[in-house]
Amino acid sequence: MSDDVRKRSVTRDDNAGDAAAGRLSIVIGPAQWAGILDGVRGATGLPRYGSMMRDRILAESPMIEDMWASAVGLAITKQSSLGWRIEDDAQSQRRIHAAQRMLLAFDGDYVAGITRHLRDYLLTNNGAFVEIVRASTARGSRIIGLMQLDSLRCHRIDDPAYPVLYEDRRGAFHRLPAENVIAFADLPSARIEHAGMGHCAADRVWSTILKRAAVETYFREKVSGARNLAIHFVTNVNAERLREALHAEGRDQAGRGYVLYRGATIIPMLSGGGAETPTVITIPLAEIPDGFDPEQERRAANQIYANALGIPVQDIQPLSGQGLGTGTQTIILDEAAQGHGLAAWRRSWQQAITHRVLPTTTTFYFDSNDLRDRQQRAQILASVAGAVGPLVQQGVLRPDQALNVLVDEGVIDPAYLPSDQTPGALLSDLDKPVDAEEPEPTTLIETPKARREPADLPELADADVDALIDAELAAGLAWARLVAGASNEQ
Amino acid sequence: MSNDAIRLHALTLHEIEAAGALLDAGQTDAYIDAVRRAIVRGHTAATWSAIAQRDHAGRIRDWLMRAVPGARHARTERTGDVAMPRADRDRMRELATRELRYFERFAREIRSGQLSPARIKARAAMYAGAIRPTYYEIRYGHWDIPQRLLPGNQQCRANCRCTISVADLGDGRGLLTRRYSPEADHCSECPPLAGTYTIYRRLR
Repeated sequence: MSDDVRKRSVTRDDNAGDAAAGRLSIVIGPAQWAGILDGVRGATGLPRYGSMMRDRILAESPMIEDMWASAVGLAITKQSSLGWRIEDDAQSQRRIHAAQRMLLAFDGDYVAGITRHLRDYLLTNNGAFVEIVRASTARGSRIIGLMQLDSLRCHRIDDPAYPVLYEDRRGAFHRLPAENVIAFADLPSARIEHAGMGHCAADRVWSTILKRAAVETYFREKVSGARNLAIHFVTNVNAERLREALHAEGRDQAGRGYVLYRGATIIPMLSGGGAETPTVITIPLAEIPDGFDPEQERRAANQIYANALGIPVQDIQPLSGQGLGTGTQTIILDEAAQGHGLAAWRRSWQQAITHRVLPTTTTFYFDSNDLRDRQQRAQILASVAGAVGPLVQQGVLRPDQALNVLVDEGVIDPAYLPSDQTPGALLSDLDKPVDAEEPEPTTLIETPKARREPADLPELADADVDALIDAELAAGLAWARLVAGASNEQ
Repeated sequence: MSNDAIRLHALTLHEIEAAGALLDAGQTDAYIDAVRRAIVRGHTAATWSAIAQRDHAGRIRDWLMRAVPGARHARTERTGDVAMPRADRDRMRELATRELRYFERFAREIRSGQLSPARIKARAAMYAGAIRPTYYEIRYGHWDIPQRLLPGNQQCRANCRCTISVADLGDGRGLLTRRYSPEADHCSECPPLAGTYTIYRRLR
């Protein structure tokens, strides 16, 4: 990313030179959140929906529970590692290269930028925000870059012209015009008062996160002996003998380098006689309740996590006994993921970049471009060609009409078609109407200025104008005094 | 509410119309020079007045009396005199330059002799209207005011008699009130624009 983009972004002061002297962020775990969570409403302990404090807690949810953190990480890295391509209907290499440069420099670096973007998308109700940075503050000015904005610093405003207020590190607010910001939200609210705020994946699984964290904490403490597991009443054993035995065992283990946490309380008791056989009575404190199946709980939680994130559950829980799953499973999962939650984000991202950032003729697509993709395209070509071929042989279609069909189906480049016999009135969400006479709106390369001055206006030197102003300053001041004298205002 | 912008507009218009005598006398260059000076004087007057209204409410006349035109770019604290702030002067120069560039092109047409005196006078009078946007720009430049609300940006252009004022609400917002004078001739755009609007301080 060029310095120019950062300089013109509302985030320009966020990484200022004195940042080292700025505030220090410390991520704290749930144990220290008592102050925040105390007294807040709701059974889940979260502050009210729509508040920044709720998002602040949700954004840190991966710090609470390992499996959730892994699932979020997996969902995000799958998206950030997706390949993409840029096409231009007019075959303009200049526009394609400019668009590629800009996207590669998204928030400094595409992969890191999209990762930060998706964290906000999945972990805050406010959603993720992208600033469209322009060359100047003039409306419709040339787009020079894209910046990811910290969701916790973006306030949604019920103002269509200026929908977002950004608060930078110095506490200064920047109103972002609608044309300069793209707001994403997972499951946006239908209530107008929420101004497009969503219901993020972390919020949807919050109670599951808490439950699973409690289960895992329970087992961790049980295994590590950090809590008292049981009380043992041992009869007919002298307290001194018991202490000696435990100490001897401890010294022996220390000598071997073992560390053992003991989680039991042993209470020696002596009965009347001294020759009776020692007996033990145990009161369990940390047994698993009857009927509780931790494995089943984990599977259910995984299913809930996967549904919330919009990834196949097998991604975070491979088929049993198959390790990382099978190849067939992977292909099926990839296809299944087309309809899952993050597919909606991919579609939103493609539409936003295509229609709001790139020039009229340029389109952005996610496309891994791996061998399997190419194989799929070859299969489609073979399938469509196989269907069209017999129609040509039977005289139903002429070869030029068949070519038209293949172009319409998108399996052959339109450049091979001399004239389109079925000019389409059909546009998909990512297609753009190509109209030679249509002026390009907000474009990356050629942007008409909002107000052009006539070309024949003469240039004037500042010094000449300054000389005129100097000559008239006194007369102007006299006029100002005159009108001030006529005015009732003081 | 201050009507200074309207009064300055009227003063500038009067100055431009008075210069018409030179044109009638066949002194074209003198006429062009007089109109040019009237335009610049109007802009400087608008700037002085707007600064006084903006920064020195309650002691406007006092501040204007202490202002020294020659003291450029800095306050002269020792003498108690005040000067035009550099930022305002630069902005005014920008706005005046834009108008002067249009005027220089107009001056070429005047010198070509293709325009009738009546037409020249009518067109020259329109330059007085540019004083008001300058006044509003300097006075309310720290507010983000939609262009369509600024008097002079409607069909009636320089003849617009509407006024605006901004009350600071203290939380980054301001209440803009746009008024029009019912007795004045007005275009069809102005009456619906009269009213109050919430505006915001410029932040970038």
